[in-house]
Parts: sequence; structure tokens; C-alpha cells
Amino acid sequence: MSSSESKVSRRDVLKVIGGLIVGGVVGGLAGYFSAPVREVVKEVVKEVPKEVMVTPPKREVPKEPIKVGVTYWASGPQAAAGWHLGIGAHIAADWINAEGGILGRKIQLLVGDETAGPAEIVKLVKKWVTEDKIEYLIGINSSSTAIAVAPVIEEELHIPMMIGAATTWKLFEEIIPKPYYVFRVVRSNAAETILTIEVMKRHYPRATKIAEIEPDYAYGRESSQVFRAALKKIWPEAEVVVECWPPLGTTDFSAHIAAISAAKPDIIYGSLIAGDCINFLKQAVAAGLHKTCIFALEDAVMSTMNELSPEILPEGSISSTRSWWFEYPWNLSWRKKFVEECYSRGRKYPQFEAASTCASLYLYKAAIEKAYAMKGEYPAIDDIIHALEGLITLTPAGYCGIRKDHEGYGIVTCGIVKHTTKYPFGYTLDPIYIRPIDEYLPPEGVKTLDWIASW
Amino acid sequence: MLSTTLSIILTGLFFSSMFLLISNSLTLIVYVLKILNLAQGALFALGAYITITVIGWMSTLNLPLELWYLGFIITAFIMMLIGICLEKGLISRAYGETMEIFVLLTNGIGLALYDAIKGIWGVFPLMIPYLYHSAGNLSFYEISFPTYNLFVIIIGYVLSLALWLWLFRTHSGRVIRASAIDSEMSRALGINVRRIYTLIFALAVALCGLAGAIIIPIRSAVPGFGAEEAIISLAIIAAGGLGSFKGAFIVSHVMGISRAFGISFYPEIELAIIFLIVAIILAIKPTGLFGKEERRL
Amino acid sequence: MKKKSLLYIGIIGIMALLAFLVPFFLSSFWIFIIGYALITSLIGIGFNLLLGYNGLLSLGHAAFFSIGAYSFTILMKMLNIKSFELLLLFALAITILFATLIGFISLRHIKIYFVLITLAFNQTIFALIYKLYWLTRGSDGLTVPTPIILGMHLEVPKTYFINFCFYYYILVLFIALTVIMWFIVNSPFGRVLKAIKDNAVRVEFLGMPVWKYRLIAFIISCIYASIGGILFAVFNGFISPDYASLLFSSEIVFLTILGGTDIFWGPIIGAFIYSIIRIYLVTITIYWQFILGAVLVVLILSFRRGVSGALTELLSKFRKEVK
Repeated sequence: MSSSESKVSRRDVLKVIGGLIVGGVVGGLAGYFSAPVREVVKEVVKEVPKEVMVTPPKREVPKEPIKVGVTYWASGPQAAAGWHLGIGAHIAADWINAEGGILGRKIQLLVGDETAGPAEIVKLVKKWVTEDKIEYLIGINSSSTAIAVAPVIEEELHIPMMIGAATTWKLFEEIIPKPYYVFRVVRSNAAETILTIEVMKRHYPRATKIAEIEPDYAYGRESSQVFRAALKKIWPEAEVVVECWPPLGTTDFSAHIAAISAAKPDIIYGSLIAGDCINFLKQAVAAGLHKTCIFALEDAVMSTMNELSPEILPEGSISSTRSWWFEYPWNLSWRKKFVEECYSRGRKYPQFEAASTCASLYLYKAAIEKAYAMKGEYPAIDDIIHALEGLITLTPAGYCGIRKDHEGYGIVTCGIVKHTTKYPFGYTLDPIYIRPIDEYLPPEGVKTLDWIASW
Repeated sequence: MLSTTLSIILTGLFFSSMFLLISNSLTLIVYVLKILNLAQGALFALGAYITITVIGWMSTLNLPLELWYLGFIITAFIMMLIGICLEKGLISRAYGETMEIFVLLTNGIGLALYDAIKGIWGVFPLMIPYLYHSAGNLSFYEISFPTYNLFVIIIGYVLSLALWLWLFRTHSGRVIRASAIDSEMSRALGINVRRIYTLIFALAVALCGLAGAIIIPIRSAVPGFGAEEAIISLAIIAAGGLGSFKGAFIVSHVMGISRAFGISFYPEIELAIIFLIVAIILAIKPTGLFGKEERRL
Repeated sequence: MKKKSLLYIGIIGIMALLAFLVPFFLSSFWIFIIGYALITSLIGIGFNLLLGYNGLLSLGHAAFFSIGAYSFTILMKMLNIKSFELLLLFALAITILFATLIGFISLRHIKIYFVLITLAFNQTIFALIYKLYWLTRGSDGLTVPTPIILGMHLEVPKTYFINFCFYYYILVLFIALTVIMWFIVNSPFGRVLKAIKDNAVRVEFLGMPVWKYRLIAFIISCIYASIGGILFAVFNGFISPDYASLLFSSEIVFLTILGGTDIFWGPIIGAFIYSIIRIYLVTITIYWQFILGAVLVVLILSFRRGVSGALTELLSKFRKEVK
């Protein structure tokens, strides 16, 4: 710097720094311990005084398209499973738009990739709501994303959110106990866990040594809690001899397989999803584990139906599924068309995620139409939410509905794998157990773990 | 107990073999070109993806399964060409700069390469079918170990041995070591150091790509493939001593076996253990186990 | 000379004015971008103390960002304290502890070994944050509750708090810390650092313990990164282990170099450009890492001195032509 500038000595620097620190600390402590409420600030921040309105004008049906945000795993190891969330939304949007849209408004989809992590999705959703003005959020593949985004929607962003695939029970029990804006068209997967244990006990009663392999993130951890609690109650003779926690997205399970085979279990149980499930089965079968153990992977046929080929899914394996909805319980022609459309777009049978997002859009349409019919004007967000609660409507995925507590109706399915040529992916579930999901989940207001403890 | 330990050690050797290939590739570049290459993970992934395309093409030709292994050699060759292009096009422009510059340069190349892979091959996971479990598995002492993993272990050792023999026991190896030790003198003696740099870089890239190639039948290729292995390999050569093949060999094994034990017994801190070991080694001996003493200032 | 300082003050004044007016004119999204830019500028000038003024490339600053953010949030949740300032002090105490320990070990090396050991420490902390689920909730991340700043119990909706009150808090802190850093680099301490960068051996022979100076610079640098993390935690409302990753460390390096390491203001310019591009880019294309990498390569090969370097060269060319 130029010589005309005054020299800054070390003492000066220390003085300035010291002064700032002392000032800051004193100011902060003083502020903290002095009068709790600053009247001045409160005044400035008070809301605009309410005007008296005689007759509010009727809300016109807006001309702009309805922007809907949908997030799913669009890249990375789980992309094959995430694709279905996207395709369900796209097919539903195309079909709804072809019939004229919702009250004449076309649906426009904005897509977000959850592989970037929950932090990025939170930023993206914030941008969508404040900049792009989306009116509805659907999709949500990962339970981590749900846990991160749902509180932000409830507290700040205030638009309806319909979760399509994140099935952690913790969401409505601990994170947001009384949801207003957040809905979930699927139910918690505690039901699948419990039914899987029952099927394991029924078909392999002597296989009491269980190895547990769970993905190390929200979904896996919570699934494991329910598994342990329910196992003690339903099948006390069984014990978990080894547990493994590969992080979500692990592609190399060699060490986990070595640990499992060393423990010599009878059943390998886990809730590995999508890409992880495929890699694990591939490597486990190559290591010969299928010769000595039974696979009981909860999500195998749920989220990787199309990618699992018969050579890596041995007969006799147990899997729960929500993706068999195209067979049971209603055989409707609209649903057949949906299956064919999905197959024509991607050469895959639609998994449950496709049904979820499709139902999300059709439910939204039904809610808006119902609220419009009742009020005679385009519904506000609160009206839409009240219309959604308790709504049941027919969608290409069958009859879907939302209960008053913001969760969906449904069935829970589990079965034994059998190889067949009936489907392009080469296997089916036979025998298959289908139960109403309410039998396998706690009643309204009761927490899952408390409910299991009370058996 | 014995069978558990044995199976974990075998898995450990499997990990070590992979780390060995990548670390040797890194060490080669550090030793000769004095560059720390942060693009190793991307090159590893590139090798894997190219193999998928190559073997995918071969499977359509209805060749017998055994011939599919040739796909690895084809991939190595392609990676070599890519290495030559990279070196001539980008790396050589910065010769003469400090090592930090190269760290940043290769970091940028790595980032760009990862997304280029995403752009070319798409975001869905890709796999090679059949090859892995067609090799079957070996059962002994109550454990069963996939034969293919054994193949990976053997390849790792064979290639490392070949590299070491070439560098330390042949004439051309001696020439290369001369350029590494004193490039100015070598240039004065008439050795074409620039060409050696290109050759070595290409060879290292091919080695790394080959590592990716042989590992891909076991897993699926996804964006971000190999990033973790690359960072662990960087830590390995740091702990072993930059430019030391002996160090890389020993630390690769330490890492591989610790990782296998860590996953089996302490899954909570498995990843942290590895870096903690490296940090401790570096804290005690700053230049790594077999590194050269450096100026303190 | 007088004209130059007037120009300087003028530019700074206009920038400050614009920054103050931001919440009134821009949408929530852009307030977030500018806030993020201010936070990363802080991290950048702290980082540049090591890189530009000391010649040390640290790949471990993401770890310190996260240490600040996570200590702050975990303490807030565990001790149920809501006062921002109190938590800031505690979190900084933890940061100084870590920085001293890691600095003590790392600064025994120079150049490439320093890079590698900071990388190793960064990954260790990343792995710990990822795996210690009971403490950090691992990959799920932590939601950060709203703290109380300056003891004022404001009963305002959260969005208002973040966009107005906290934004100004960040702005004021940014100005204060930048001024402090300016004093640091222009003090005798700062001059010794520059001398160390030029010729460390000579400084050692002059009797000044080089590594002590480096250690202090390292700790200051980490404190800045940590404060950035704490501000970000509250501003974003959510933190996850991704902010301790090597990728984020690389981004910190990137923004500093983009702006230029030679001039004091370089990292600030770099941080603003980087923030806008990064946050906006991610919503447009999935190939943003390609752009990041390619720009880095171009910077290294052609524009070593970054944007500020290019600007000063342009300015001096302009001045030469005018003469």
C-alpha cells in the first residue's frame, strides 16, 4: 500500500479486535438478560391493520398452468427405482391435460433430483415455491428428504405436499405430529416389516438365526427399530446373529457378505432398496449365500421389480411388495391402460411409486374440483387441504384415498418368490398374502413402537 | 473363528488389491512427473464405464464368456489413448509449476470428467450381466469365496509385480527412473524426458482404468463411482510416502485389511478408522513411512 | 492517490448500500443467494489468509465449516440455549480446540504434504459426522431451530426473521469481520506472513518462529470458516454432512482462486460469482460439476490471478492507454 497510509501497529489491531469482541459479548449478554420483549421492534413488525371488507370478490379460475414440483432419485444407484415416481407423474399430467386439465388449467411439472442430498432439495423446494410459484409438491423418494423438507413446508412454505414413496413411520410420529400441509399417499412401511416377520415364521419356522442388513440412513434405522421390536413379540425364538449397515448407495458388499457368511445365518433379512438390493443379491448369489440362506428382503419386489432377474432372486425368497397393485385387488380397465402406457414408455412394469404420483395428481384434481363445486370459486390452499382430508377417488392406479390424519388407505402384501414366465421380469409371488394395511399399523394417535410394545 | 478370520482376510486382500492398482498408478505419476493426480477417481470410473460399453458390444457378438475378459485389455488400450490426449492437451501446459497448481488442475479435470461420464452414459446404473457369477465360487474351510474376487486379487499382484520388475530390473525402467530422479541431467544425456512423461502418464491412466474395468462386473456403475476408492488411495500414498512403491504396497494392505475388519466388526466408524490411521502415520512421520525427508520450511 | 482512495470508498459505499437494500427489493430466493454469497465471502477471505498470504493450500476447510455448524446446532439442541451469541462463543471455543490440534500436526509439513494431511483430516471429520448418528443424525442432517439474536425476542414468522433480521445480522458481521481481516493483513503480523510466503528460511533465520505464525494464521482462517458454518446453519435452517465433503472443500478453493488470491477483495468477488452460479446453476442443469471443473481448469491454465487479476490488468491497460 502507499506510504501515506498510517502504520497499523500490533497494539492497534489487538485493540480493535478486543474492542469488537468485548462490545459484542457485552451487547449480546445485555440484550439477553434485559427486558425480554422490545416494544419498538414488536410495533414495527406487527401485521398490517385489518381492513373491513364487505363482500370479497370471487376468486377467478387462474389462467396460468398449475406448476407441480416432483422430486425423486433421478441419477445414481437408485435411479432405476426413482424413475417410476417420475413416470407416474408424467403419465398422470399428460392424461389430465389431455382431458382439459384441472378446471381448465394445465399441469406443468418441475423435476428435482434427490441424489444431490436433502440439503440441496430443501434449497430447490424453497426456490420452487418463492420463485417459480409451484402450488403442489409430490414425489419424495427418500425418507431423508421427507424428514428435511416436511418441516420447512409446514413452517415456512405453506403449500400442500403429497409424499409418494418415503415410508418412514417417524415422519408423522415425531417430526411433524400434527401435519397440516403435508400428506402421504402411502403408509409407513412398519406394516411390511411386521407382515414379513409373520411370513418368515410361517414358512421357515426352524430358521431362527437371522442376519440383518440395513441401509445406513433414516429409513433403514427406523425400519430396524420396528423389526427388532416386532421380532421379540411375534417370534421370540428367533435371534439376530449379525447386523450390517452399508451406507445408502454402497455398491460393494464384499465385506458385509463375508461378515454375514461367517455368522452362518438361516435367513438374511433387510430393507435394502433399489440399486443396493440388486448389487447385494448379485454379490451374495455369486458368493453362494443362496445355497445356505433364505433371502427375506423387504423392498426387493417393492422398488426393484423390473431389475431383479430370476438368477439373482432365488425361489423361496421372501419379499414384501406394494408393487403388485396391478394384480390385486381390483382389476380395472383403466389400470390396465396405465400399465400398458408405462410399459410403452420404458419397457418396465410400473412399480408402486408410479401409482403413488399418479394418485397424487388425481387426488389433487379431485380435491380442487370438489372444493370448487362447494364454494363456487377457485379454492384457496386451506380449502384444498380440507377437501383432501377424507377424499377417496378413482385413479388409473385404482381407488385411492387420504384419511383425516393425512395418511393414505392401502393394502400390505408379502409373498414367496416363484419363477415364472408370466411376466417379463421372470418371477411372481406365490403364495401371496394380502391384508388391509390398517391391520398392520397402529390406530390413529398411537405411536408404532408403543403399539408393538402393547401386544 | 478361524473361518471368520480367513474370510475377512480374503476380503481384505480383495480390497488391498484394488487399492494397490490405484495407488501404483498414483505413485507412478508422483514418482516420475512429480504431480499429485486428483482425477484418479474419475479415470477409475471412466475405465469401468468404457468396459461396460466394450463388453456390452462383445455380448451382442455372441462370443463365448471366456473371451469377454479380452474386453479388459481393450479398455486398457483405450484408456492409454485417453491418457496421452490428457497429458498432451492439458497437463503438459502447466509443467514447471508448483505441485499445488497440479492438484487444482487435476481436481478440475476430475470434476469435469465425472459429469462428462454422466452426460455420455446417462444417470441410470449400468451393469455387466453373467460374468461375475459365471465364474462360480470356491468353498473351503466352511467359507465360500467368489472365484472372480480371487481373480481380482491375482491380477493386482501380477500387475504390481510386473510394474516393479519393469521399473527396477530392466534397462528401459532404469531410463525412466533416471528421468524421475533428475530430469535435467537426463535431458542433458539425451533422454527424451517429455516423451517419457507422456508414456508414464498414459500407462498410469491405463492401469487405473484397468482397475475400474475388472471391478465393474461385481457392482453397478453409477455416477460418483470410485470417488471413495480414489480418496482412500490418495491417503494411502500419503501415508506410504509419496513416490514410494514399497510404501504404497504395504499401506494398501494395511488399509484393505483394516477396512474388511472395520466393516465386519465396527461398522459405525469404519470410514473414520482408515483416515485416522493415515492421519496418525502422517503425524508421527510427516513424509509417510518410506518418504524422503523434506525441507521443514 | 487521493482519487484512487475516493474511487475505492465510492465503490465500497455503493456495494454496501446495495447490500442493505437487498431484502426490500429481491425475492426470498435471491436474498438467500446474496446471504450465501456473504457467508462464503467470509470463508473465502479467511481461506485466502492461508492461500494468498501464506502459500498454504488447505483441503480441510469444509471440515471446519461443519464443525462450526454442527457444534452450534448440537449445543443448541442439547443445552436448550437459544442465545445466538452464547452459542457462537461455545462453538468457536470448540473450533479453536480442533484448529489448534489439527494445525499443530499439519503445519509441520509444507506444500504437498500439508495438502494431503488436511485432506485426511477433512475426510476423518466427514466420516465422523456421517457415522456418529446418535450425535449428528448422520446423513439425515439436522434441522436448525431459530435462535435468538442479540437477546431480542421477536415474535415474527420464520421467513421474515431469516430474510430481514438475520440477513442484516449476517451483513453487519460480514462487514465487521472483513474490517478485522483487513487490519490483520495490514498489521505487522500480516507483514511477517507475507515475508514467510516469499522466503520462509530467511524469516526463520531472522529469529521469528515461522510455524507459530502459520499456526495463528491457520486458527484465524478456521475461525472464519467456522463462523461461516454457524451463520449458514441458521440461515439455511438445515445442515447435512455434505458440507463436510471434499467437494465442498474444493468449492472453497475454487471460489478463492476464481476471485484472485493476490488482492484482499479477490475472494469476495469470487464468492459472489460462485454463489450465484452455483445456486442458480444447480436448478438449471445436472452438469454443473462439469462447468465447475472446466472453469477451474481454464482458470489454472490461463487466468491464474482470477477475476480480480484480470480486472486489474484491464484497468492498468486502460490507464496506460489514457496516458
